[in-house]
Amino acid sequence: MSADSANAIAVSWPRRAGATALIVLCWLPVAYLALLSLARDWAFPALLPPGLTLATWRRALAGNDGLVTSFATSALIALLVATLATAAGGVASRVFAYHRHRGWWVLAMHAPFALSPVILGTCLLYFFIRLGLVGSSAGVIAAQFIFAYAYAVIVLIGFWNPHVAALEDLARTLGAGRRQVFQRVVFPLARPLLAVAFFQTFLLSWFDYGLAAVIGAGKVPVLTLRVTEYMGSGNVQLAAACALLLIVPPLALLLLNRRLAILAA
Amino acid sequence: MRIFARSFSTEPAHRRLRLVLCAALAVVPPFLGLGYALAYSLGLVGALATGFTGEHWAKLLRTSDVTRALGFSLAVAAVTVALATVLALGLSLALRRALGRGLGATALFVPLALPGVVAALIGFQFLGGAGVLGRLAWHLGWIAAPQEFPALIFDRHGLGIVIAHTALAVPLLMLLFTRLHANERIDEFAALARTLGANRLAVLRRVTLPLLLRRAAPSLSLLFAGVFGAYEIPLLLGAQRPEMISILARRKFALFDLHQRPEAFLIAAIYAAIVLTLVWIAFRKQPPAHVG
Amino acid sequence: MIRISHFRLILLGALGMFVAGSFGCRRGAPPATAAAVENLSWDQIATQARGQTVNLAMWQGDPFINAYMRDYVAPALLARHGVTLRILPGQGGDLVSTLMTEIEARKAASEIDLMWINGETFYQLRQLKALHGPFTDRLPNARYVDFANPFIGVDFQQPVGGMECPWGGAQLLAIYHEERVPSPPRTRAALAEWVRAHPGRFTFDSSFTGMSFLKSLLYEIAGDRTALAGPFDEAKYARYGGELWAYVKSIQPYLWREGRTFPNSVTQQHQLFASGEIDFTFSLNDGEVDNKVAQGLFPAAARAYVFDGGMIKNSHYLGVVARSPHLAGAMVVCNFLISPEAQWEKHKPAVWGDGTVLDVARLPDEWREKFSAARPGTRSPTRSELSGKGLPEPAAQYMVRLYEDFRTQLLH
Repeated sequence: MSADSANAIAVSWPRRAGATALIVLCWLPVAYLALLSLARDWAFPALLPPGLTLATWRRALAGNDGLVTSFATSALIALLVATLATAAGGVASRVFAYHRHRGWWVLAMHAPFALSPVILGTCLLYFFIRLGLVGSSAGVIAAQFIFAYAYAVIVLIGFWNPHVAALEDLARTLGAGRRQVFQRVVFPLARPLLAVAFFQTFLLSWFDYGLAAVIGAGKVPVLTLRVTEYMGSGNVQLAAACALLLIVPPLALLLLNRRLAILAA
Repeated sequence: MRIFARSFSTEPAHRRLRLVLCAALAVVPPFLGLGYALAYSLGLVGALATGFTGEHWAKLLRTSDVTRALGFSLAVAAVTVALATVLALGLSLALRRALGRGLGATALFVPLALPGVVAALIGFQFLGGAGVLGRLAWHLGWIAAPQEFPALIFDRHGLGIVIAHTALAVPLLMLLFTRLHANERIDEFAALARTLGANRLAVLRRVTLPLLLRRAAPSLSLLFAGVFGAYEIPLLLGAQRPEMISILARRKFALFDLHQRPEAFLIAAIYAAIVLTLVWIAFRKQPPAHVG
Repeated sequence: MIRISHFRLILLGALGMFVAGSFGCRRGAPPATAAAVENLSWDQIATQARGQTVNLAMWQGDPFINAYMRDYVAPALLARHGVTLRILPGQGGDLVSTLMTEIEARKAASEIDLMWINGETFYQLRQLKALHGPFTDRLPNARYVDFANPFIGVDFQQPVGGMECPWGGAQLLAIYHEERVPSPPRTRAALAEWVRAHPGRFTFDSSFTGMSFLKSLLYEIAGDRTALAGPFDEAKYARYGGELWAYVKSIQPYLWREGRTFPNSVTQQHQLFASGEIDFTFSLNDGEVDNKVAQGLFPAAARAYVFDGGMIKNSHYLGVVARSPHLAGAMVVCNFLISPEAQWEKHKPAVWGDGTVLDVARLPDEWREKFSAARPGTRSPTRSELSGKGLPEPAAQYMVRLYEDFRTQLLH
């Protein structure tokens, strides 16, 4: 309705120019990183690199810097975190949803975000050491799970409403067992939002720097740490390549299915 | 029909246990960490601790770097949220139709795929004296050498930090505002207001902005908390002084004088208290969460 | 009838995984206690080391050093001794902080086995009793190390005492651009004059290298290379330090960015120098200029020199963590790093250019010839130019006070 009328109204050229400028600005960082990773030398004041080379990418993908291992480590950790968090979040969101004071429970779920990941990691480091979790992927997964779980609950709580409850009850009165209710009725309905929660928690872990640095104690070589390492040693081309490795997978997923980025309101 | 009106005390025991367990997974770790931080700052735990002491808290009142870091972090967060909100509102309202559904809408998702470290790398490359903007300025003849370019990163006002966080926040907020605009049926209310005689400015002031901002308040407060406690971007783009609060806490954690470690935990405790208070305030003003 | 709901199952399962993972994953080998290694011969230590993974925490700010460790040391250790070397980021205060938290948590086996450390970290680690040792006398290659040299056997006025193993030597050098700075200043008065004439072209960084520069100026103010010997002296620091800060504050408005901010690492300062934003940088690596020019990172006109009053000369060391679970492996790595072969490779300007800690006279002939014939890079001062210009590191607290006062005096 309003979309139709919007399309029917001609868009003035300043707005079109503004929109184009915005689109260019949004893509500029990615394009720049790609160029930087292919540049041979790129010193002031050149606006474009004097020459292109694949040496940086060859080193990134085939060299013994272990970037492919880092990519796999980050991916594995993020997948585990996303799976655990979405599953637990799905369960917990239902538990909270059908409670009178669900608003307060959801507010409680914001507790982990009161501390930045670095600070929470620093404060909990003692406990993680006592549990033997420091310096291992398991520890990083556990630490990231805290944030991912809370976020999954926040995302998924919006799914449970009287309509879903009514469908559940209807299915039960028709004789379905609890497992069937979930497999056949609830889960298919929840799938889109579960995909969103999975993607968001995956991103939370994939992009995390603070927890991997503190709890991982340098032994869990995730990609975010590698980017910082190369920035710290002045190798911007390799840092750019590493950054691209970091952003291209989520970018591809997002562009394929924009609804994955639905924010919990 | 499932009965929603239940209170905790009348819950059967196993459901109560479920509720508590589910909540505990997310609530216990931060409060455990907070408790440890408080205990450390009071000298109750720690390798070099000698028992309860209020000296670190007393020192807080005398030294200025903690209050300065807190003030700086709050200011950076406030400026970022304000700037990002204004820009996002303006751009999303002005370009809502121009961006349409295709290329435009897709482009806004690209910055969502940029984490803090990458934003810092981009910021460093663009905003440095010898960076992209500096080179453009040189070609345009505005500067003759890299150091003449104004200091946008590693500066005392945190400009680079604000710019980087704002650049990340604006697309996010634009998407939020666009979605809210559609969900809250702003167009209908605006049309209604116009039929009642309101002009465009009044519609904006009385209808569009209040509706959008009120519904966006929780997200904006989370954004505030996020920038307040930011670590990666200030680490890579910030000056040594003033520092953001997370950077200060980590620096004090690793100081040469090991007896100053409790100060790091003290900072963490104060920071957490501030953010918890802010989140509490922001969410209390929300209308009761309706299901669905 | 009790029906265990599916939710509870899933939740318990997730919790169970979490708990199991937390306890199950740290079943490693029990730490080899110091006593166990004490009674072993070197051959037995070497045998025990085979198959171990040694975690070495080091500064990773220089790509050449990283390449040396990654492309030469790690493969050699694996091939010859069966030890896998794993490099972790970590230096100075962060290392101490990590180890301190481990001590607080009463952790039996440390995450780190070997550390690349300097004097002030050595001081803190001894405070925490976090170092294993004395151990250097167990290493076969230690017989070549020149412990008698005061720059090697003494670390920030503390006798090494076998608690840390010397690894390499460094002389602080100032690096400048030959064309833009035809006659570089060699005293602090000349520096002040140059800085005033060329505002915004000089700075120093706020970490180790910058502090070493300030320490060198402190010596010049004190007037005598023995003036800061011995333990920390508050009166001396008040006198010389006061003058130092007065001097720096007098030139502060003419520094880069008007002295309102400083590069936070020497790497950042190198980038400013390379991009032409400033005309000076510093380095604790003798071969820095040559290897960076060779790689095209520095302009070809970069040169290194020393101030007339001398500049800090020190050694850097390797420390073994007391509760390391891989003591044997750590000692084998250490022994390899001080072998003539590894020291020679490290000494090459194209690789790292780091000074050796070995006493060349005691080496076997072939190595003695190689080290004696080694020429310094063409862009750095010659050995004769450097002789007598090395200033010993003062006690660790001097540098700590400099770090603190740097923030309070310069950044307000």
